[in-house]
Amino acid sequence: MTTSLKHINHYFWLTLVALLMGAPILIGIWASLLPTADIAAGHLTSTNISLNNYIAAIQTTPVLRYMANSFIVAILITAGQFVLCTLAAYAFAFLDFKFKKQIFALFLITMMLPFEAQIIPNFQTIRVFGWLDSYAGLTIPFFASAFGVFMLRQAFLQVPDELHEYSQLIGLNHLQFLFKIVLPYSRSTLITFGLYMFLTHWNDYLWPLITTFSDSYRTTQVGLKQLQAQDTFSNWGVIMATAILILLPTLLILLVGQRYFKKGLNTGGLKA
Amino acid sequence: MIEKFWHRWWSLICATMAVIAVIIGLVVATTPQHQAQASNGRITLSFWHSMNGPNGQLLDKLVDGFNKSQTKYKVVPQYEGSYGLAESKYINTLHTNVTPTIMQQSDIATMTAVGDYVPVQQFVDADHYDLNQLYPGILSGFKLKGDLQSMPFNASSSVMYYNKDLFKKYGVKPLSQSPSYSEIRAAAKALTEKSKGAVKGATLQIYPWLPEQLAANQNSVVVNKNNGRSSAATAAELNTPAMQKIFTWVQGMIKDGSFQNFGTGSSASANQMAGFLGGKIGIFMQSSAAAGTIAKAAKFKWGETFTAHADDVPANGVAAGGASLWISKDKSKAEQQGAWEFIKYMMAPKQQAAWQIGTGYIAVNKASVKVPALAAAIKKNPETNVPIKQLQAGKVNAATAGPFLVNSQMDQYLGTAMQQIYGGKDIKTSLKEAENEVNKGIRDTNKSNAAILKAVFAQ
Amino acid sequence: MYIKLDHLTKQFGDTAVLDGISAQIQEGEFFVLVGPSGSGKSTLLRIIAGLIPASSGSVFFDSQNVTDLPPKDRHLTMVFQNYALLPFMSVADNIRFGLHNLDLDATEEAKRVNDALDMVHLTELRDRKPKELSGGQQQRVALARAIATKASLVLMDEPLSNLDAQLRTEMRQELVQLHKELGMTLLYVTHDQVEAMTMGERIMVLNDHHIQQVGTPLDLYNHPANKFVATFIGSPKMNMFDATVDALEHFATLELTDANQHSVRLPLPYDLAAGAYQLGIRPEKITLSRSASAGSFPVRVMAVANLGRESSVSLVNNGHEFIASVPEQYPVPENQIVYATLPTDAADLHFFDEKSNLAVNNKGVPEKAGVLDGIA
Repeated sequence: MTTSLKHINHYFWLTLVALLMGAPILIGIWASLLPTADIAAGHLTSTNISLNNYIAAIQTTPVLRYMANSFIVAILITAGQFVLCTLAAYAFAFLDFKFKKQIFALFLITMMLPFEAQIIPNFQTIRVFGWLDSYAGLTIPFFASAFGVFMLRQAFLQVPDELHEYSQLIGLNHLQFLFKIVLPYSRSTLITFGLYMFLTHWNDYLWPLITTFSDSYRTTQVGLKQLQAQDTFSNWGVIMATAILILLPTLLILLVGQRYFKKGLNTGGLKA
Repeated sequence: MIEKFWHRWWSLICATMAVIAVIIGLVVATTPQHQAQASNGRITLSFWHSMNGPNGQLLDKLVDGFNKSQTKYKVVPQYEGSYGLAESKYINTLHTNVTPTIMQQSDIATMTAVGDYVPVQQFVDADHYDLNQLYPGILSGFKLKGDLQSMPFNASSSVMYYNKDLFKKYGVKPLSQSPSYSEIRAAAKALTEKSKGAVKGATLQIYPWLPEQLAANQNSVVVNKNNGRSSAATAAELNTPAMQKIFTWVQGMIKDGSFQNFGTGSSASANQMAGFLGGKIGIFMQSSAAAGTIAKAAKFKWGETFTAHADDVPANGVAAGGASLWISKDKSKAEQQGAWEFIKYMMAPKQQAAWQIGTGYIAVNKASVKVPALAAAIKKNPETNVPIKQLQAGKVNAATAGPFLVNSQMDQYLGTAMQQIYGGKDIKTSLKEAENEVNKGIRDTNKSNAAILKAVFAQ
Repeated sequence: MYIKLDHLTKQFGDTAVLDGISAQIQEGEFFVLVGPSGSGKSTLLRIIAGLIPASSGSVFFDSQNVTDLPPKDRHLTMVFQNYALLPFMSVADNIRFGLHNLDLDATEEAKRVNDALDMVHLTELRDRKPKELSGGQQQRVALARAIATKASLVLMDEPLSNLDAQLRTEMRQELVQLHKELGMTLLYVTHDQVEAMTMGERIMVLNDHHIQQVGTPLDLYNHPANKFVATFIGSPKMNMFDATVDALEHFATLELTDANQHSVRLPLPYDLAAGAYQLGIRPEKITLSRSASAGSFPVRVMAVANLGRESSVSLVNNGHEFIASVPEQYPVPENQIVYATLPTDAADLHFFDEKSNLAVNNKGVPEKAGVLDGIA
């Protein structure tokens, strides 16, 4: 009796908090179904619930192009980071070289540096390279990630020394050891890392905002901002529909990758 | 699930990732430059603008018309955010692969100071283009030393919009064509009281361009040296009787409880528009360029009047707002010529007429009113022509030329003063403080930009 | 394969880990490296494997100097304490993976995997993942992986320490059996002297960076070369008494007292120079009785550890504690006074030099049968 009362109590509060936290998204989804005129008039309901805003979003805005761009950018960055961070993390985890500690400390220091502080030099660099408004400019500055190196190094350190010794015994070279033992051994971290990086860069805003100048390269978040008129009136219904569309891949990844995110958070790897 | 998949395919995934990385490297290193590459033998001209929403869609349509009208050039329009954002993007990317050939910008002073353009006058002269077909009152704001620097494509003026249905519903007399402050205050008060507070009578967005126009309408400049037109301005003139009258009027309405303050920030304007479209605001002041949006979204009858004038001061007229088209210096002769062809196309009567009908911007070409579509629209709704009538009725003087000020912090500090005044602070104190701050900014700017300013005003 | 270690030393920074290690390991020998933790035995194993370079000295496999050869070229295999299995591969795949650099054709590979699995009785679990197996089964997979390579030298680094006691005893026998069947040279590192004694054909005792003694288990037990080996090998530990030798009277005087409060004296079994010694006597050589007899002295029982088949009795006399092992159950209450008799046989008395700790008498004394009982 008391336990079931307790349960009801718990569920009541949890539901309440969940509703509070989910409210912006729920309201967004609801608004995406209303005609803009009704939203503008401040009505919360309408007799005209439809998917018209979604159709309008796809037909009249380049949202699909934006999503394709985000997808390409996020995939490229994830792949680039995967390659570079894996190799760097391998060096820090398994190789002995002079000033290893100092160099690693340098890596960590760059992690403390907020990306905002790197924007200006990075911008100058890609400007000089002629990479403004291109996939190169959108992705290459993110290929090296101190956080990625750190996270993967921590994962690689979990590989028992004995496996490293064993790999030497059976004559694996560094790359073989990396690909045949280290990577499969760390696969859950790698999956977490990949999903996390994909999401992070799917949601990139500031950098695409200042380095893209055409719809050919704009990403979703920047595109969404584009749709939000400043001097004139915003078509909120379409904006909401677009926002929900953009949200879908994120939700999908979260749904599928939840287990790995939890794992990543539990081991503290994602706290940074 | 992933784990299983991963386990089976990890080596493949690793290899694929590596291959992708290599490919990106190659692809990326050979990313084509955004120079005018010939597509189907056409010269591509990138065109940065700040038109979005319905206005942006119409602009795209006009550009499309140009592209279809000839085969030599292809203009690619790119929305780059607000004028301010587009301007900073433009400045940050001068001489790079993304520099546009054609740039729409409202900030004449900064564009002039940056100086990275070819004055349109050169093409006008070479082409014997007849500038007389355009309204001189609008052209004047874009001239330096008598030479046209850029082409005023989208001209606007500030107007008052009001909800005619609300006025009728609550039995308030419609506004006159050139309303005075007290007329608006009375109407706002009546609306608020008769609707028992369901409607707020009026608003004036915290947007410095608005009080600047209200001051111009009282023949008052906002910076010295004839609004910075005769030589570089050295001081702001904000704590003037004209400004004081404007804010006394606003504070009066705030006291009446008939005023809605939409605050500041990027959404203030959108919220104000939403409030008006939602029938919650009776009167508001905005660029005539908002008419297109209102026409599309309003489900009620609405009216448009001249910018309000102070009770004891006859309307002097307002400055032409909007923006002009600039041709980049950093491009080949062929591209620049293409840009000029594009500008000519956009300024033709037909395009300007379509532009006014669709957006509420003023058709700059005098002949546009004779285009049947625009003529019909004006006949059907005479208020469509209010902005043009206002411009024609206005005087051409320093106040209506608008301030010419390089890099000042006018907007920031006048905005702050507005916030303070709306919050109840003393008008004169707020304006004085703003004036002092702006003066400091002007002094610094003039000092650091001495050479540029000298070049701009050298005669 | 015959292995020769020639003056191997290893320093990590300024810290010496191994010093002057020279030894020879015969082909097919089950050779155990034993020592307390930190004695450098794992390091020595890794130097032999080539995983760690020696600071100086050489390693020879047969007549080939392999000191600078990488591990993969040494044709050896290794079994680790934590098994070093690849958790993402099945049992069979793990074994197959170990054949990586042998360039075998597919049929031979499959055959070796099957044979190895068969040998460790894991054929039925071939498709399981390591984490689905018990610790003992995992270690068997590791063994199978080593067996499958058919390497002529197998190194084992504390392979049984992660197993529980009973399993460990079983696995010891299995390992010995395997070694008998396959006949490879087996180098086995452990800190557990019982493991060393029960499995090794020959044992190297390492302590303090040095070799203490190399020999067969019985050599080490019966003729410990020094005090360290004497106390390290055997359980319960060998008792150590301070002894003063009077060469003229042929007696060793101990700091124990008899019923009359006289010092206990032992007749010397052989000639020793006068002076102070440490006398080592194994617990099972001390006999206890309830009543006094000639040569016995009274001791107080401190504690009795009954092991069923035998009992370890902690005793005290004159403030000196020592242990007697009794081959029977010993239901004597604490604080009871009983009578102890020390052995007189030359083979049972181990004299060590007080300064050098080296044995002074263990030459030419014949072994006696049955000592293995004392160490189990």
